Amino acid sequence: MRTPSTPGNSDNPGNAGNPGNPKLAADIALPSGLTAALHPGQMRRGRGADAIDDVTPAFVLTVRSDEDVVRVVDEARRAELAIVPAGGATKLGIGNIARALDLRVSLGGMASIIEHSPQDMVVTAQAGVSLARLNLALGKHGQRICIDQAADDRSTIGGIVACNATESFAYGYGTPRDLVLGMSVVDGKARLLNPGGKVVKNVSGYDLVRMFTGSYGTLGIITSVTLRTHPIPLAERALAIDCNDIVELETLRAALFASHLPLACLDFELARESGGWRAIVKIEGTAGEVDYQHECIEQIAPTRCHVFERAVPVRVAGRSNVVLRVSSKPSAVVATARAIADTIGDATEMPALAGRLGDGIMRVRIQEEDPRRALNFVRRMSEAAKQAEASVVIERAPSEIKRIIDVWGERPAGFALMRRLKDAFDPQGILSPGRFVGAL
Amino acid sequence: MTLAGQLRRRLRDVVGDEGFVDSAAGLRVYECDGYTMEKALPELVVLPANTDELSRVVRLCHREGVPFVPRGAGTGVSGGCLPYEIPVMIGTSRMRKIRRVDIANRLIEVEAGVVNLEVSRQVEAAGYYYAPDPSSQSACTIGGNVAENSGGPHTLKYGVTVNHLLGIEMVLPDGEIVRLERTNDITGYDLAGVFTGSEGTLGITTAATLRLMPKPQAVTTLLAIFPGIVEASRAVSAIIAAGIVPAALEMMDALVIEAVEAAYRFGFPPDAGAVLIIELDGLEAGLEELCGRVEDACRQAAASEVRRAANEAERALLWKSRKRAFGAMGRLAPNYCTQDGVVPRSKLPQIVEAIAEISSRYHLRIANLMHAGDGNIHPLVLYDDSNDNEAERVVAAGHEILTACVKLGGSLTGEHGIGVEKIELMSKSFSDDDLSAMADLRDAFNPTGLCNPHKIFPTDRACIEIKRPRPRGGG
Repeated sequence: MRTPSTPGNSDNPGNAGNPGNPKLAADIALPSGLTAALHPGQMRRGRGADAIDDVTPAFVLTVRSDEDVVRVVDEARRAELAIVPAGGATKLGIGNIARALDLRVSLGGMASIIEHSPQDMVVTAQAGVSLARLNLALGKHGQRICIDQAADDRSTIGGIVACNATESFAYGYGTPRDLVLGMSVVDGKARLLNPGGKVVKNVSGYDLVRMFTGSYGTLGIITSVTLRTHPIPLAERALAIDCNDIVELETLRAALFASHLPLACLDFELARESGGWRAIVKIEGTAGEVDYQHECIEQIAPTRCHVFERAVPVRVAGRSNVVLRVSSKPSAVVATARAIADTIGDATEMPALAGRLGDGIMRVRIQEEDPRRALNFVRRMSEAAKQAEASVVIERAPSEIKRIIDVWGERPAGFALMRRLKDAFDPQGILSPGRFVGAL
Repeated sequence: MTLAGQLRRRLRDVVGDEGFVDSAAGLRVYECDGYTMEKALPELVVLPANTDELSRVVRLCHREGVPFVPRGAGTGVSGGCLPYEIPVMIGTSRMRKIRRVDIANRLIEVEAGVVNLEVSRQVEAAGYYYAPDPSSQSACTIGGNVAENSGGPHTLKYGVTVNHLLGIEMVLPDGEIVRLERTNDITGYDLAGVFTGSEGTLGITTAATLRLMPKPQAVTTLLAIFPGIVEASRAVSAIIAAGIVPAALEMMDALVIEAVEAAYRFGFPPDAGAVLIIELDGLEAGLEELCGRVEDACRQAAASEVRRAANEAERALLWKSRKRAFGAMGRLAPNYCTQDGVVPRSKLPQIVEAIAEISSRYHLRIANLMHAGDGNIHPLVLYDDSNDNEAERVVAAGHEILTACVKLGGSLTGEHGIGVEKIELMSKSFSDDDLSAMADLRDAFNPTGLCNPHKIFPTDRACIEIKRPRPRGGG
């Protein structure tokens, strides 16, 4: 079905193997062990709409239990079938083109909240529960998960943990890495593992939870997660601060950073309508704390800035088929944003640029149908980011671009170790083959 | 195993005379850490001055197939750096450089031998601190903190070491130096994260980049006095249920109070059944309201008295009483043994009941010290080593307590680690598949097994009879 994973072929990961060969897909039959174990309603042939990048899976399997997942991985391992797990499919665009894709395994049917213990501030949910639904259930007990997602009604908790995904809350609450306490996960050897636990402090054995969190489905399929919850604050407020120019934005950022105010979020955006720079802050706490922080921010903001309340931080701006994530550090975030904005320069369509002043992560989005122009844009942005000592991950791009560029950028330090982990936990390379950095 | 003279000479060449210990008296210092129940002498100890030297030492050991064990300050309490059948010990105590302080990005990079408290001292004037604060913080070093994923009383709100780690520089078991990032947006697997808490079995930390926290604008420390531990546990739940996350939420029972009062004379009431130390921090604007709600929760849970530390001196004395409680235990019994279990915090009353039952069945007095907010218990089993067989009973009672923790949905250890102490309990806590997955991880980092063998896993360790519990603890 597929070319086995080889460490040496990743200079051009998108071209590795032969993704998207429709003949190949049609030729595959499901192993009899699977057809016997799963209900017919859990299996169907893949269609165009199931494609990840432009690779259509031969089959789509809907799993309903941990045992289903173990069975699927075990049979896939024997038959050497490549699997890509999927939750709400909001992040499947992230990653290189799969070297092979035989089975798209949907965890959307595993959507039970298994246990919420409000006193322990811990919740365990199956991977397919959406963030919005989880927060709705927790909200009845005055709690929440401090992870935010633009499409929180579709983003599943399993997918969020697999991608270590969060947005503005990263500033105040960290990433899922800081919130996941335990999980159930089926690795490439078809072992059902239960690393971590349900307590907030635990140093018993190796913490494999950290290895699986953010591994983008390349080491295992997460079937449930246990997360730390936080109380819903008594009061909250979002403030926008319009700056007249980028110098003011940097002055404001530095002042807010130095103020030691415990902000929940500290974002910025290049406002499309005005072309101006805007900071967006979310403050939380008791009513008194929120009023106090609001006052402080009014005082901190450069005199010419306009501070006003707004509903919630907004991130999504229109349609985009190219999304770049640029990572800098707090002290360089504004300079990086400026370099990006300058490079955009005479682009025909104004791109969206927004991100986090707190930890230096921003996104640039454009809608560009012409692949050559899109590639040119990606290259110019990457060069600008590199000049600013920032790194770039291509979160979404047409397949034409992905065939040419490793969307993850250069191989990170410790890559040889990552390869060894991949070989140890997925020796046959059946889990999302080629999708992660360096074609892991 | 006896080291060849040539390897000795080469190691000595790398670290120089000042970094080389092989005299009998010199080695005695390194025979154990805070877990003194088992002892073993290494053949020699090398103390590299920097990462390059440490890497060269490891390369030599790797090439010669000689096992080695890393050691920080030796304050660990589970025998993680016991040199059992390990000829070469590699200490990081001479690696004490502060490499950079970057206030603008709220980080500091320090070498492995820098003492935990020193990190906060470096940035205090700028209004920052390093949050993880194990009780041994004036002695323990950052390299050891990474190896053990150390916690402390303030983990409830701020998390443990791994939550404050932005990167590590480490030497792999084959001597290669790698620098692993751990920002919010790393690409690839979280190697630094999974390495943290691996008890020196995956490689040696040579430096760490740590997150700095702004010092809170205001801090209030409350002392609540309860008739018993059940009432105090109820208050813990009530505080959490009220949506409050204190910076710290510590519990001491009557026995601990007795010892601490004798040692530090803080003024705990003699008839107190249990006390909670509750620290709230944040903005001044909200603190009064939070204090009021915590006081209400305590009173509703039958607290006889709730008082606030009147000033910084009183607050310091209260924390000294808590952090040095271990040292005070000598006033109650000649020996004691600390355990380090975790339960979901709502199960505190059940574990306390289980401990009382175990205490009476084994005829051993057990004092309870807890990071109650985290559900992390430190039962202190009191005994007299000179009594026949008492030490064996202490070990057995300790294992029963930890097994009870696991049964209640908790963990064998919250912050002390498995080391050699709890090896045989691992199979009670993990399935065979989980243990084999951990072995896979170890083999990926440490394929030869030369880096700190015979730790954490029950598989390959020659059977050492566990005879005596350790007399002091941490946490």
